[in-house]
Amino acid sequence: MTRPPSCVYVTHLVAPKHGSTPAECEDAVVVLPDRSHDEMLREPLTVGVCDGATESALAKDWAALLARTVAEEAMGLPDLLKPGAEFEQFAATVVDRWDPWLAQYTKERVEDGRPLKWYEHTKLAEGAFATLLAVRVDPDAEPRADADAADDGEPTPGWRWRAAALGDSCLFHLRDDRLLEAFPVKSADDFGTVPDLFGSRNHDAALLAERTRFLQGDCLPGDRLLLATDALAAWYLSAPDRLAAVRELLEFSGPDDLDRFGDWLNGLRERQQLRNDDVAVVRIDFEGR
Amino acid sequence: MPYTAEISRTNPTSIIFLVDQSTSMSDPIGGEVPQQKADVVADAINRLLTELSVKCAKEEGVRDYFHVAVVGYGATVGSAFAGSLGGRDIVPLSEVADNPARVDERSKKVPDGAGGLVETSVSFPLWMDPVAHGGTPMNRALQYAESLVSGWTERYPASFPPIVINLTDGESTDGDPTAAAEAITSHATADGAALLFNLHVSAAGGTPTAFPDTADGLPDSYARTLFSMSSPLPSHMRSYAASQGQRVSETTRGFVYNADITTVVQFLDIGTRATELR
Repeated sequence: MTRPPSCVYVTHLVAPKHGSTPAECEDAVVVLPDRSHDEMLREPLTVGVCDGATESALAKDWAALLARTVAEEAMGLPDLLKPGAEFEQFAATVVDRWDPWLAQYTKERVEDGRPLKWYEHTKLAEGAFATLLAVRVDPDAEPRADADAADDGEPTPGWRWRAAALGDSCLFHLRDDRLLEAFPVKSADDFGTVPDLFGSRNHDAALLAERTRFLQGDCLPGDRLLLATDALAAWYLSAPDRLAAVRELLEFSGPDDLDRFGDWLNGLRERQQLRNDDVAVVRIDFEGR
Repeated sequence: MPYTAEISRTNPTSIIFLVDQSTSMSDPIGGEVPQQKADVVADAINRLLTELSVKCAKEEGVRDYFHVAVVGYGATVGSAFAGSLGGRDIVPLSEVADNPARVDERSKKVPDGAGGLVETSVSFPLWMDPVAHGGTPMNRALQYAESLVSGWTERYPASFPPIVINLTDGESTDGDPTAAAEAITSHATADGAALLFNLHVSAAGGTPTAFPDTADGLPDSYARTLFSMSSPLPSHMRSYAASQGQRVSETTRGFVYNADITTVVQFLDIGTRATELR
């Protein structure tokens, strides 16, 4: 028997908190390569998920810059997402990009006749803040002969993933839709309003790297990686039946489902099962079983 | 659980500042640099409004998570806003932030992001000036605040409860303020009773203290009365104070004696805090 071709599908959804407009949403997602959710991926992929802090100004812009930069840098450097000099260099690089971005933004505000107000100057002097979660997935060069899913003796395709996290945006590795690994937060009780954050003016790259958590793992056909910002991650970790929770979430499989996804989130909020916050979720499905 | 309502633009809360502007506020308080009490409370109000505005500032403007009143009491009881907000009671925070009476520039040392400090010019907006004239009608002021609290709880019955912050030397000239204080905290939203905090500025000496859990050690009856009038800190505020290294217990109250009260702004949760790694 010949196995179906191994591949990966990636889809992501981002929705604002109830009471905010989509333009005010401060969760950012960048997936590379930039393909449609129904297009097969056979090459390495990278994802950046960043959650801008409510109390921070320009948090959505910093979250977007951070997510874009980490996805791009991790695509160029296969070993970026592990402890070491490469990650520290990334931390310095992305912080160096903020002040030129802010100078351009400030200039445009003046040109628009809306110069920064006193409270923006005060706030932006402190910098902008966001969480960071990044993952890189690489397909194995050769199928795995020893994989435990190979019940028919055929070599099994496999993937290696590496992740880095600063703050409380989470990665969940699912096998048969059951939780295999939760990273970096293990329990719903560990979420709060003071997560570690990546500051746009934090020039201490060594500290940023030191406080970032790293993890790697292997995926088999049928596995999934879910990346989620804190509110949805807390909902999942606190769900009385996590399998049922995952299956509810899997009902939303592409950008066409965004309105339905928003309605579903509002329902959870009304039932006080989900904290009212922006939500970003990325779903990486490993096919071929 | 009380005091857990989300503070948002659709479900805002109000903060009502009461500012003692009586003649006795022209007296100095102790300390290395003697200051008039009136200067201390005006400075505290201006810094509180600055911190609130900056806390809620976003690129499109300041978000109205809070609506704010600044009520002076001395020769009269009423709005203490100077400038274009003069005469207004409860004002959305965005309007407060956009309408200081004036903005001074002051130099300040700020972290340079690499462990050092650099001197920079910062804006220091001012909404009120020091005033010291007349008696100390604290009862009338508390009753005025009660009417604002009552109106708020009717308008936003599910909101985080209103917070009244009274800045005074404690020397009420229209009787014991205890009953009027209790009347404020008898109003409630579905999320809990209104809160009353007090800043006592005093020349009586003793140790400056913020958010104590006992009246022991307070220097006089004015301080002890204000302590007893002050609401216990709700649990999440205690947790935040504890996370900042403050010693707290279940009897910790929203009372500050000759110390910085602007920390209270940090007690308010509007979402993920913007804090640098430590």
